[in-house]
Amino acid sequence: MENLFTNQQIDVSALPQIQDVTWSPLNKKYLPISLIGTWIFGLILCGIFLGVNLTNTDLIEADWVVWGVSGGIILLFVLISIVSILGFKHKAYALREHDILYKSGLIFRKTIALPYNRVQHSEINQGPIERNFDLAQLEVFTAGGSNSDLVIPGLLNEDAQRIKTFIMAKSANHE
Amino acid sequence: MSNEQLLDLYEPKRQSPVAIMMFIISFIRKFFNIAIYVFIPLFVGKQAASIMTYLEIAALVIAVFILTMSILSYFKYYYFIDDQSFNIQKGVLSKKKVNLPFERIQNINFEQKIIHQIFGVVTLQIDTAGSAGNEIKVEALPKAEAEAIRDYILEQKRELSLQHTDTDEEVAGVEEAEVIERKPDELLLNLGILDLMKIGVSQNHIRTAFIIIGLGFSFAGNLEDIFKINFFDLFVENADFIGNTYIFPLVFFLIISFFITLVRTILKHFDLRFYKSHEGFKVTSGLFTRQEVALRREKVQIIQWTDNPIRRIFKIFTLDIKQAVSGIVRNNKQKAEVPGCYQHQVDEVLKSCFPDLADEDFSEHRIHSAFVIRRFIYFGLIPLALFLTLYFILEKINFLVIAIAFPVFALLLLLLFHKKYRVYVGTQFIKIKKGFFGTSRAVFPLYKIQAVEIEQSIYQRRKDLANVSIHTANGTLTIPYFPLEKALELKNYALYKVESENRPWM
Repeated sequence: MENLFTNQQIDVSALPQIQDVTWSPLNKKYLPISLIGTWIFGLILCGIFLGVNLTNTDLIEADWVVWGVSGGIILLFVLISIVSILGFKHKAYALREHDILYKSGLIFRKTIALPYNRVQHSEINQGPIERNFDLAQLEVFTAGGSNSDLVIPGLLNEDAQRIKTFIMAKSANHE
Repeated sequence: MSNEQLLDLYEPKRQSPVAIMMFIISFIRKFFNIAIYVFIPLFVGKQAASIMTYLEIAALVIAVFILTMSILSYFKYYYFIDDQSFNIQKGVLSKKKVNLPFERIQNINFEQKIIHQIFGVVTLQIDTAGSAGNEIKVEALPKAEAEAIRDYILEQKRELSLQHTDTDEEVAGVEEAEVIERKPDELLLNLGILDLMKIGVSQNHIRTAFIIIGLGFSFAGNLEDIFKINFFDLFVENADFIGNTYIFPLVFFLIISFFITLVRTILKHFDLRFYKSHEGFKVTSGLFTRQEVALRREKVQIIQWTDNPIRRIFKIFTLDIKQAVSGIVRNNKQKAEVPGCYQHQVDEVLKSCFPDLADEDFSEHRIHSAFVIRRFIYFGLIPLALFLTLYFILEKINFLVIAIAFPVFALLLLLLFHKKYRVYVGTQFIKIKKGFFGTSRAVFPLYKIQAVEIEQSIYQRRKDLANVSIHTANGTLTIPYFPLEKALELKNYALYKVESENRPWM
């Protein structure tokens, strides 16, 4: 019960520890850019709702309901923004010799580790706003389904390319 | 295989005409499914007559178009093999060629619906690896030919892998391996009607009853739209199951679901045969739709076997051999589920897939009791508050009954779950035992893991606990509320195994 591993030659405490890793933060530009994206979406949503209801007053008769719902949408996006501002500093990645790590989460802290020899393929994605600021998002896929895919947002495009090349070289070595 | 037969497979061929028939049948079935939703409200509605004629014409045009296209595409659809790959040529307006190299083929399965059985044809399903994975399906071809194709592809794959090891390193056993005769399939289990009864009787009938009730509700929802009657209001107005009104329907649903499940089980697993084959295992089953699932030993990721209180009396398990599935397609057809297995068949499969398991020395671990308390908040206290509020608003006694019964039941289940949960960690394997009333056990080798994830909520951070998610090529296993120190140790060790051994995981 006390010890996790019995009957083995290697000493578990001598294994490389994830706890000791030096984490690289995401690019500082990522936070404002993701906020801009969130708010464009939020305002469009709110705008559509208001537009439909103000031109077509039969849908919802009471004015205060219309304004209340719009306020609710704005409040929701304020909350989302707060979470992403506070959560930003918890997002970080690290490349080790044999695996790639990514951590995230404000309330639920997650750390995922993905060995290079399990990588199936990887992708670099750039949204329209990201492209203007030369940022990119790296996605690394395994055979473990969507749950185990690793997504690192907010990388400089050039870094993302470099990391991708590195990962693909590492994963090709194993085949 | 004679050369003549082989040449035959190289020749591009059309499917059996049964394919057209299959298409028409499925077309009619789908058409009626949609038609019911479209036409019933129209018949009841006011403007039915005027809209009907347009709709009828439109539907007819679309139907004729689809049928013509499908018949044309049947004549333009060819399949054949060449030295390296399985090929399909298709397309009416634009030609399309699908080329599937043998080394990318992971799985070849057959399926026979009742019409296939009558005409002696099968559906050939070829599954490929990788996240860009897709499945190729040849709807109907003669059984002998399908078997010839499968044997040929598997043979080619084996030769490819032998060549591979040959060039990689000098393996002494190569010549020997080539000499080894293909062993005939060994029948491990054949379910008779009595076994099927046992399995059917011991299914989870309560779950089926809930599904039926759920379907009933959604059907009621459809009727509501048509007849403009609110069934929820009816329910609330008449809800008084203290006074027996609801006991009768509940028992009725349970009895119905019992028979439905029994019949479904017998049809689905009829004459199930579970073979140990040269490559791994093979399961054939079904009365109307006869299905064959082939499993390759190397592709097996997790082996899971489950019982429940009734099955414990019969000493039978449902064995689920989970093999790697292609990234996007995760359908049930890939699932090799063998109900009605006895312990010795489970052991046989374990021994064959994971030979090292026998020498394994496991250490036993439990999850923290905080699991019960935290989950009770979500599944006990929140529903309690919800139903109490409903009770005070609507003043119906049955909401009070639910409000009290829910947390009691939730607490009971959580305590059972916590009491049973065990993680067994060995040097090569992990075994997880869990369940409420029944017990499910899952074993998987550490080196086949795809990724490891650790998650901590605010509460768990304070208590030094963590959820460990182990992602495999067939699903994720999560160990909740594991002591943080052990969780990190487990993660580091699992990563070490995956990265240092570098064994192929399929």
